[in-house]
Amino acid sequence: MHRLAQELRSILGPRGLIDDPTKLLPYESDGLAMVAVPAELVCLPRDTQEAAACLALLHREGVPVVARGAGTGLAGGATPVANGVVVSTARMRDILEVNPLDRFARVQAGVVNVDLTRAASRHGLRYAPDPSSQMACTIGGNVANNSGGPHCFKHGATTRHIQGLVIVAHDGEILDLSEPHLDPVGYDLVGLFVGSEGTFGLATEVTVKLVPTPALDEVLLAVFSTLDDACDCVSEIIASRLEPSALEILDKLTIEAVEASVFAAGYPVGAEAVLLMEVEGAGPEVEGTSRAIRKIVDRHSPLDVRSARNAEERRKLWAGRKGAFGAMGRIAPDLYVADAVVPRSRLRELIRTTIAICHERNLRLANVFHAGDGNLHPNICYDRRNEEEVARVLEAGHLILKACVEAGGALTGEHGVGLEKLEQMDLLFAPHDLDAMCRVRDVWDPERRMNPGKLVPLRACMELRTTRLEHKPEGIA
Amino acid sequence: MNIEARLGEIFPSEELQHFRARFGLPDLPLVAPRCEERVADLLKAAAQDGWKLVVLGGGSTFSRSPSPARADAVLSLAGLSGVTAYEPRDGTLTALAGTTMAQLEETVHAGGHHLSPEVARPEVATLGGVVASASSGFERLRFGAVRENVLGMRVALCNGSVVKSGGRLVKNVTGYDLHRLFCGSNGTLGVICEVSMRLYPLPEATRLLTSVYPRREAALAKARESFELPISPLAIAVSDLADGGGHLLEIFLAGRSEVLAWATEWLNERVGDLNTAPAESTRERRHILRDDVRAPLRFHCRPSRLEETVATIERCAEAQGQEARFLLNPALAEGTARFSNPANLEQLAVALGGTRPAATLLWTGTFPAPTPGPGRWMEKLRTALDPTGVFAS
Ligand SMILES: Cc1cc2nc3c(=O)[nH]c(=O)nc-3n(C[C@H](O)[C@H](O)[C@H](O)COP(=O)(O)OP(=O)(O)OC[C@H]3O[C@@H](n4cnc5c(N)ncnc54)[C@H](O)[C@@H]3O)c2cc1C
Repeated sequence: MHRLAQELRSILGPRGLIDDPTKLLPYESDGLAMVAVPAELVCLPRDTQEAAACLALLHREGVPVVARGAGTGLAGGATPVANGVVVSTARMRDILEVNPLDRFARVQAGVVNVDLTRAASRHGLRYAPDPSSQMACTIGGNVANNSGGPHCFKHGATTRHIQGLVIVAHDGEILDLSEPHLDPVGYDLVGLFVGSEGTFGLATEVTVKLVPTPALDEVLLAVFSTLDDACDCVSEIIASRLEPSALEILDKLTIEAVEASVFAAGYPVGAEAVLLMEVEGAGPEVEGTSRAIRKIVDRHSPLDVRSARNAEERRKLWAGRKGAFGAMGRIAPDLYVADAVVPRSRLRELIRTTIAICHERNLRLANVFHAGDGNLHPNICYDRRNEEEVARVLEAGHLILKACVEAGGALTGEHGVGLEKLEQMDLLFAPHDLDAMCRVRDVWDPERRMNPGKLVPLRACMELRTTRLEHKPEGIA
Repeated sequence: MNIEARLGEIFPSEELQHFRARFGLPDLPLVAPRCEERVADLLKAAAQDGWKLVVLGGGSTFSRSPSPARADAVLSLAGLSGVTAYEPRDGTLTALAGTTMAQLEETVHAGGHHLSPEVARPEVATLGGVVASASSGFERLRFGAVRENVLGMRVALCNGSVVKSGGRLVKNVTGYDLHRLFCGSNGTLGVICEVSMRLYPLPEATRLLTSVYPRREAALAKARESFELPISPLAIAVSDLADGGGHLLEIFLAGRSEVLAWATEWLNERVGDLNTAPAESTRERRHILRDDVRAPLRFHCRPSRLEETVATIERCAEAQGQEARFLLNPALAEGTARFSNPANLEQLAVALGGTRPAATLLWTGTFPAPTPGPGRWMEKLRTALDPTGVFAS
């Protein structure tokens, strides 16, 4: 056994390190299945102190570090890097404190999103961001990606709900910013860290804001005979300044996949699109908003509009939406989940462009997306063993992003840049914009060992010291 | 060559003015560029000649900051003004940093939108200044802190390059959120040139409900009961009335009229009899609360520690023969305090600091010292973005 593994094991204990090649296999990619890099070692610290000791050792040895939560990320953020070590938060699953009086919770970074929500619900509270992967993804991963979810339309993405962090820096220094302050004292280090995709350091503890569960929520389902109508309906709801809590569109292929799966929600098979809406709040507020929304829906030739009659129906309608990606496993071996944002007044136009791009390349496309935020998720079906098809998928992905950016949109609404979108960063940013990002990155990690080669394209980091990454530290096989 | 002569070479006379001594700063040359490129020109010259610049928006919040040790010129953003894009169908606004909040409010009200924060002196306060100082508004309870509504910005760095972060979209995670760093950085990291903000629907109507209680504890207890109201008020305030007149609870509601009627009934049932203030005094009180920026002490703490914090401040003040008057925002656990002898607060500040209160205390003219760990990281960020110290601090 090599020396580094031995030293790591002495810090982390026998269960805290994986070096058996068969057990390393699941770590070679994240949700971006088309990219795989073998992991050489996986560290599983139990807490901040162990993580700090581990990072200090890796710093001394000059070894690159990739943080990993549940590996559900879709942009390759948690893909291992050659000659590097993966630090997983899978054994950091303690909910440290739920404080209903001051409405916050402190959790270890590896706590699964839905477990936090469950713990909060005992106090009539909830953690609002609800990625569709919430049954698996971790709060640390949510922080690193500034993740969204259907209810972020009303409540805002992860960053709006993070009140504090404990960060282990690249050299093992522990930065304790866990006290939930109303406003940052000095610069907003916590706000800056959220969304840094593992390139600034490892978050080991997270302080989150909890909000009351709504007194009332109404779930509406509108069925359309064209995707255009569904898009226009959402654009009009936004332009009318209405404030539902979620606005999600599912297209025909998605509906079919969901209805054929265990997530079957009762969406009408055969419809071209459904619009799933939720309005939350109190009596007359919910009634007024629902009424106004129904009026708008009526103007867009719906085949049907209905309201869930009870909690069970509401749960089912949402389970269908949240299970949509999983259900799509039935229609293709692999799914490329693209993620882009467009101005909400231009939904129809960009969805059409997306369809045309995939159609021209003979690719099957399913659309299921956070329409209220203008956050598109064109899901392209493929088989990763078919190289030629993978190339077509990547080309389509690139063209979709280009079209969105040209329409005033952005490269990612919630999945992050990771490895996947490095190439496209200069569609949106000029070299000096990227240079400013690199300067800030270098403050956190001057050696660029934390998740190297992710988020900011290397060529943008003008004075990059590549030698460090190529150097294979002693002790790694 | 002296600085004035050099500035005269670079800038047309209409962009050059004189800054009359105030905010603890001496008389200084003032440059008010009319475009981003000219901001960059000034920064390049400052880097070359080793000047230290003080960045000013409308100057409405500067008085809360400590005066820098040295300053050679003032950079005013007042000339960099105008709406770049108001997108009513998308609910976003992009404007140049020197645009006043009043002008922006007028623009978006016409399209049925509300721009948060609603700050003191909107006819003077500029968007850039509000964001740079992270001044949250009177209606923060409903619309969140200013940093949560900033979608992106363009910032001129000390070397004159103008960089962008974020964008104009309500959802976007492309690249680092550098705008979160600049928000609240008080002009010490870069010059905010343009900001994009998320907008909210303009509430149809507003209503103020009030009640006076003999004891502050009672007013706070009633305020807490109102937290359970399932719709979010604009603001909940508890203030000490003059001359022992009791403690005033104010709840500002906003929304459609049937929602207001429903909420009023709910509050009357749960919290007790509240008076509905006439429209005129609702407006007046809203302005009074909005403009409460001159109090010498502002503080925030965990909600459960509000009473304890207020008691500590009161006790320390009393020990020095001072009487303290509070304006509290119990739902956010923040507040301000004014004192009977405002000329003599240094001793009080020292005494209060000595009690190691479980609260953040912000005295006018001082920055709270960040604890050593985070402080070191902040210093590193400052050095990385402004290595030669162009921005006076
Ligand atoms: C079926 C499905 C549905 C999804 N739906 C949504 C959705 O609705 N909204 C959405 O936003 N995303 C969604 N995602 C994407 C993904 O779930 C999120 O990005 C999630 O936040 C990733 O969490 P994770 O724990 O799996 O992180 P990982 O994938 O393990 O890591 C993600 C990134 O975070 C870094 N990281 C992880 N933990 C830490 C830490 N403790 N400190 C520092 N860096 C860290 C990693 O290095 C990597 O860059 C979905 C994914 C799937 C597979």
